[in-house]
Amino acid sequence: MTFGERGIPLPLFTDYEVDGFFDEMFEGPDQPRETYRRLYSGLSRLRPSTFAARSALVDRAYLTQGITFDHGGREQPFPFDLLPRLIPADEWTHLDAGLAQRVRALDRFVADFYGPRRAVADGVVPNGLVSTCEGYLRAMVGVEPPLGRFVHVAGIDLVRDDDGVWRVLEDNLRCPSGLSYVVQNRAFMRRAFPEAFGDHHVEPVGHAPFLLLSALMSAAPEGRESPRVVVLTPGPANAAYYEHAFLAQQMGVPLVEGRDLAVRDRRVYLRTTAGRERVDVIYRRIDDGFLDPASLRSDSLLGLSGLMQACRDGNVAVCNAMGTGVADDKAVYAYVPDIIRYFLEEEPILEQVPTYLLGRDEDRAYVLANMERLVVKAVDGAGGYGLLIGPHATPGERQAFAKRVRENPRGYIAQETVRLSRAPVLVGERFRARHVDLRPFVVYGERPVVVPGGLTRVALRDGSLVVNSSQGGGSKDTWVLSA
Amino acid sequence: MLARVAETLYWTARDLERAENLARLLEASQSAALEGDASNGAGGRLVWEPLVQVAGDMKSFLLTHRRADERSVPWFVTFGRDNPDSIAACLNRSRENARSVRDRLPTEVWEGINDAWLELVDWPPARITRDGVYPFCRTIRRSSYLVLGLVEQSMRRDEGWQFMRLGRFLERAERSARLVQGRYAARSDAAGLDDVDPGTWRAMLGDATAHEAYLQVDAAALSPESLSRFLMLDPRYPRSVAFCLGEVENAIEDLVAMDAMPPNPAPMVLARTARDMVETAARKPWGGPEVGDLLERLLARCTSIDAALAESCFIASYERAPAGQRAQASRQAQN
Repeated sequence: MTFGERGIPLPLFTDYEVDGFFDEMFEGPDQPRETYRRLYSGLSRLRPSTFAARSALVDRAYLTQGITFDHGGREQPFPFDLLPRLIPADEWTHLDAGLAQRVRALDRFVADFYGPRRAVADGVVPNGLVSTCEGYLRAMVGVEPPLGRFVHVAGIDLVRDDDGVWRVLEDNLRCPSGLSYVVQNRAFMRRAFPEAFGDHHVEPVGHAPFLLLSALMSAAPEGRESPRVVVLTPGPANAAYYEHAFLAQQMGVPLVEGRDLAVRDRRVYLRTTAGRERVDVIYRRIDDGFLDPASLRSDSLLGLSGLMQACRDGNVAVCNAMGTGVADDKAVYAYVPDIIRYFLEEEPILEQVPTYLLGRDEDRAYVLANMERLVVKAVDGAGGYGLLIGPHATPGERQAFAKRVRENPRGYIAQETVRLSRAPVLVGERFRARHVDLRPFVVYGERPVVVPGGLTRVALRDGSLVVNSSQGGGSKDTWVLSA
Repeated sequence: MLARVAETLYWTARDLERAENLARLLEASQSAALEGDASNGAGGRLVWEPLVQVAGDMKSFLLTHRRADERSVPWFVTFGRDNPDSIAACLNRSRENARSVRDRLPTEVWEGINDAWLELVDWPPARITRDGVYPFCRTIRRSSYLVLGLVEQSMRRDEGWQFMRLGRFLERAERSARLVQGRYAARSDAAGLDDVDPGTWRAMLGDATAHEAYLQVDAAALSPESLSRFLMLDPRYPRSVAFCLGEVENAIEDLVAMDAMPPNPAPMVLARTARDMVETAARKPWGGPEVGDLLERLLARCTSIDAALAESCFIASYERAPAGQRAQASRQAQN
């Protein structure tokens, strides 16, 4: 018997605790799940110090690449854990179908809301709920983008509960971030841990920027041959600037700031050294309100005056379209299963988390009485901000949140606390269990395509349920294994 | 190519070249200050003051330092916070510029510049005092050589490459001309001294590599005139003013040929007249007051080429990042 066989602990996993959570890798103490067996026995051939040294190598590579975040004035590499997260083929087939279905339905919902509003008329979603969304943009009413498509790229956050059931936690349909990490994590993984690939058949992800480019090109105004696509960034000061530059580079399109663009005759142009050049598609990474100081927030220094008009006239496509925030509002989330049934006449494939709308009296009364076991979220919150995790909060924090809920019930929802699944993460020279989620990316051109796997985000603090990179989360490479 | 991107690439190359140049000069100056007159109390005037002239200007230097000597100048040139063109400041700008156009640079080029910066940040400033400037300057030079090699080997010869070439050679032309000018100024103050101290004149060439190139051309005539003529007019030495201005002109012509600049742009006209000046000078005997005059006219021409580029093809100044853009940019949700 050697280390790594069933039931024999590996030194890397000394004192590893499953602790009653659903563990991605282990079904019991030192009992790896079927999917992870080959990886587990592969690890037996590595010494703990080797694994740590490889990790340090990747950290340095992230630093060199400038994939960093600011930590007290010092640049730190974006934390990356070298042990991949595995998803077996049959599970992925299920997720793939469910994600594509969800994004198709949400896109139809947005188009319908800015168009004929059938769903509201038929009582699927209350009109008042949608038109009071933070993301609702009156100026988009009546706008019909090419293919009728509003959502070109979506990041859907999935979690697994105690029973290992995958559930949608939230939808990100405005500027979902992280696709570059999916591609780069894999590239670094290939360099630092090549042995692991030998035992598996891993679905590649390197073509993701190409998929995105295809989707963006299909959004171009009609009749534009070889359309000009640009990535619009708020600039290097933005936390996701690395991603903007990476995607622009990989798609072979210019990375622009608002001041590089000009509107003439309701068309958008690039300012080049030799004059103006027409732009057809803008993949924007700027919030809706900042896109056009002439018709949205007048104090915006990032946008382009006249963009909204050019967009309404169909002279340029903005991706994702402005106003998609109505579909990732957390109160609308509660209605997504009905939205899927209504628009697609299909049963939802993916489960979601039971949700209470605090605008409803009976829901609110229930939530206020049970805050210590629920998660309360602001409907327009993102990045792990504006939420209360009841079981982890102090009575004072819960009271403060209850007050905010009473003052603005429409602004909040509550959900049952999902005990997020955990996965082994290297801490020092040993693995420790940390909570994880998964953000797969759906790219929607002619049809929705899900990039295999996605970004597994890791809460690095022991016990923490917040995985967002803006809150000190890290990531793992995610492998979809072929059957 | 985007006007902003062109300008940023131009400055990325220009600042990197400036940092490298300063490192080469600092190294050569320190070694020149060790022997002969320079080591006998005249080092300030013979070595350190001319270096300050090339790196910035003496007047503003004296605002924050008592005198130019072997302690104050190396610090000023490397990390000096009062020096907007210190090696650290140049490398920082080059890196921030490279970051903002990293999608247009080969990944390895960006990594090279970023690594150079990360290494400099980790450099304990006290080490300059302890180990001398050599290890520091060597690191800077090597980083620059690495990046330049990658640029040459991995970049398409597109507009981006041409704008980087333009920035690099315009910077180099200007620095070489200022180097000669600084020497001439030092000489007219106390004529005769320099002739007996060829060591400090040799420092003008920058480093050993330049000295070796010179020796192949005119080893027998080691004199201030011969050295300055080499640095100004040699048509084949890649750091001579004549060579650099030729590259500037070629880069502009190539840009026009690829429609990245309108035909016959102002920078081209200016570059051509600068080359004419150099060619005319090459036909006449070298020396005398005309040299100082030529130097001034050439330096003024370098400045006007830069200004013409800014005006004719870089982004106009009113389109520069408005104050407050950074703050707004950092608040954009990327969820």
